[in-house]
Amino acid sequence: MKFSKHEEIWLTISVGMLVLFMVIVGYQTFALGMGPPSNKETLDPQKVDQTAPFDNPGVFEVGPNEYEVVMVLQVFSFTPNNIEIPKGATVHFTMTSKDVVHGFQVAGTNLNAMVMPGYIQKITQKFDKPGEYLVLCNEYCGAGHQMMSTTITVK
Amino acid sequence: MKASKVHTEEKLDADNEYSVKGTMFSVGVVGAVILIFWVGLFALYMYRV
Amino acid sequence: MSTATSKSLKEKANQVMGVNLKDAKLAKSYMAVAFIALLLGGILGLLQGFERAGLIQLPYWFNYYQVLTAHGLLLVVVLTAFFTIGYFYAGLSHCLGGLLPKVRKMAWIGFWMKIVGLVIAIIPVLLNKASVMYTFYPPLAAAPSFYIGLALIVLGIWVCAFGAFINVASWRKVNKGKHLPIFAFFATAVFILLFFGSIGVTIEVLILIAWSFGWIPTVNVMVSRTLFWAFGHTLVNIWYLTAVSAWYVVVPKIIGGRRFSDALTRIVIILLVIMNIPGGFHHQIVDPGMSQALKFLHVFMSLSISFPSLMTAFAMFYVFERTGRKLGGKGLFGWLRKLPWGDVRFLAPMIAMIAFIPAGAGGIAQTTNQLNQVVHNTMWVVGHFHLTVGTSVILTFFGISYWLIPHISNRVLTPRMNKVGVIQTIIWTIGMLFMSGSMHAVGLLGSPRRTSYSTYGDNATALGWDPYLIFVAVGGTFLIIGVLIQVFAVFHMMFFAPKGVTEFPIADPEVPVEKTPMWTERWGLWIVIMLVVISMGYVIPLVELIVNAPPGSPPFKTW
Repeated sequence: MKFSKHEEIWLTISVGMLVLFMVIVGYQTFALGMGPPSNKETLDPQKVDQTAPFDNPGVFEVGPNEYEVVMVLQVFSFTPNNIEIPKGATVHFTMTSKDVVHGFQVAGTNLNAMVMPGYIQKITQKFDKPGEYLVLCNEYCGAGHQMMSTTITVK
Repeated sequence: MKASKVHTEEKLDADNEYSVKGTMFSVGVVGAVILIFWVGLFALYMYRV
Repeated sequence: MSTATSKSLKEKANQVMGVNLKDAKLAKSYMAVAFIALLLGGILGLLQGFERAGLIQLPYWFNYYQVLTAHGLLLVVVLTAFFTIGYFYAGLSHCLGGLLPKVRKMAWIGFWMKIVGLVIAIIPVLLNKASVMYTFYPPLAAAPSFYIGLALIVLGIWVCAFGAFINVASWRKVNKGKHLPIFAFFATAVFILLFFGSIGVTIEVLILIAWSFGWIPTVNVMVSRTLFWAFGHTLVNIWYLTAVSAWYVVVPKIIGGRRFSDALTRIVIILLVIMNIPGGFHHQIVDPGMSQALKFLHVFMSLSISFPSLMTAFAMFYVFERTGRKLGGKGLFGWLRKLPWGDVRFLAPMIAMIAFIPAGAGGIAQTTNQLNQVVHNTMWVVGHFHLTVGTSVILTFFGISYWLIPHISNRVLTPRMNKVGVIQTIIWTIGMLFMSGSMHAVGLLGSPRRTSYSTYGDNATALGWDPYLIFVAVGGTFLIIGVLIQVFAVFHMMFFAPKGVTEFPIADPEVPVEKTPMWTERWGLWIVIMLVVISMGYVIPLVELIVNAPPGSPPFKTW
């Protein structure tokens, strides 16, 4: 039982490639803070309306051209909706679900996160290009799932 | 069908029979496809950052 | 030359005895259910494709999400489970000298448990009381009978798994010191994964039964989801391992070659068993409640599953080149031309293997941590599994059917039916190129999966997806033709093809025969290592999710 020399060459090169992939995304994750959305805070999913900050959802300016969007997802809508932000803004989304599992996705960006009842999910994106971005739910959530959308307008 | 020919070992020069250059080329293609997919997705990710 | 004579003796014996008729009946029943599921699931798939492209609107009493739930259940649970079990039981009967009577009985009990479970689960789907998809993420709550049906299906699969273990153990007892035949080795691996992989989801389903009846008020949604994916991805790899068994064992025989190194084949199988189950975590890369360090550990675990597949890529090309050169192929590509492209038993699994190159590459790319954000829950993922499951696995299953169905039916594959199979394979390939290609592309543009046709209020971005979605419908049209031909071929070969003997093609090992180390047979050890790896992957997140759990969620019916 042993690898042939040729198979060894192939496995070395291909595994080397996989290691390289991991080094690149690992560096981005742990050195540049570009890891996937993984917030661990929780709340009572049946008391979302009474729990800060979701008792007051909306868009808040938190710094120079930096905003926090506190967002509640429910069947079949986003609150707040039709958000407007200036060009070049960095936007931190803080989200939870009032009912079932939803997905938060903004087409044409890296914004893509599961929003689960009981958990506070966070994800950040910088909007450099002006235009209207389509926000949609990408996890099946019921009969009106295909209508669950809103927009972010960057001016 | 071809399966009936299984045991007809044909005499060929050993050099030809044991060459693996086709295999190495083929796995090279596999490696290239993996690289293309990964770099493609990575490029799109970086473009959208 | 003693091996050659003993070989031909064995073949003669096989020809005289033929297939064990009682075992054949069992296998035929499993195959019949599998391909009926393909027909029904395929028709539902066509409806979906057309609705998703905006060409038709399904009525409220038979809506998109109902159809999607049924499509998923029929194809990824029923078709694959029945085919896998029927195929491996036929193979165990062939290479272990027939099934033990009690094992055959267990397989029948498992068969009826799965059928009853399926009926119980599908009724609420048809009544629109279980439009929760085959992933049934809580707090979406289906009618209790949906979960009860699923539990029965899993229990039926377990009965079959234990039947296989009993048969293998009994063979090992009388054949001490011998290697398990390679096909039975694959079967053992698949049934081990089926059993251990489904323990988590069974716990989840039992909790959901109590929850949907209202006996417990709330459920932990993250734990449920994690248990589901511990099973979900293992299931994917069970189908894959089933297809791989045909690639390593059957295809070399069909092309007139010998199979790859016996030892390395067994090592690929062992690796796939050991490393499989924690791979499911990559479905949760963008989930809350888990740290980035944990997710990164799982990126490693997911990528390590691709190692045995990289070995397989080499092994397959090596066998093809060696065989092609033996048949007179010269130069860099001459060996390719010597392969029997006109034989459906080769063509279908060959295209399946080729499809696995982009399918596996896509998998590697999308599992690398934050790159998953580009494609998670978009149509890309749907395109990905129509390549992996819908092409690599299913096309291999189709290729198997052209010798397995004649084998268990004591009939033969006629040249005409072979031609039908070649045409079917080509139609399927074209259909999947359209479907999977357009799904990958439109997913990158942001179109979500599991969503009926929507322009999101005539949003410009969403309208830009429409041209791609039309090609999904075009692909679906090709595929339904492929389904009809395939189902026709299966039942024709089962009941109407000319009588005769068809062999169960198992290739001989490479010459010179190298000795496979006996430690490969230590299944107890592999199971222990597998459990250690599962613990490494799952103990920390599960404990964390349970200890730090938020208050649970009550049931919701949002459809």
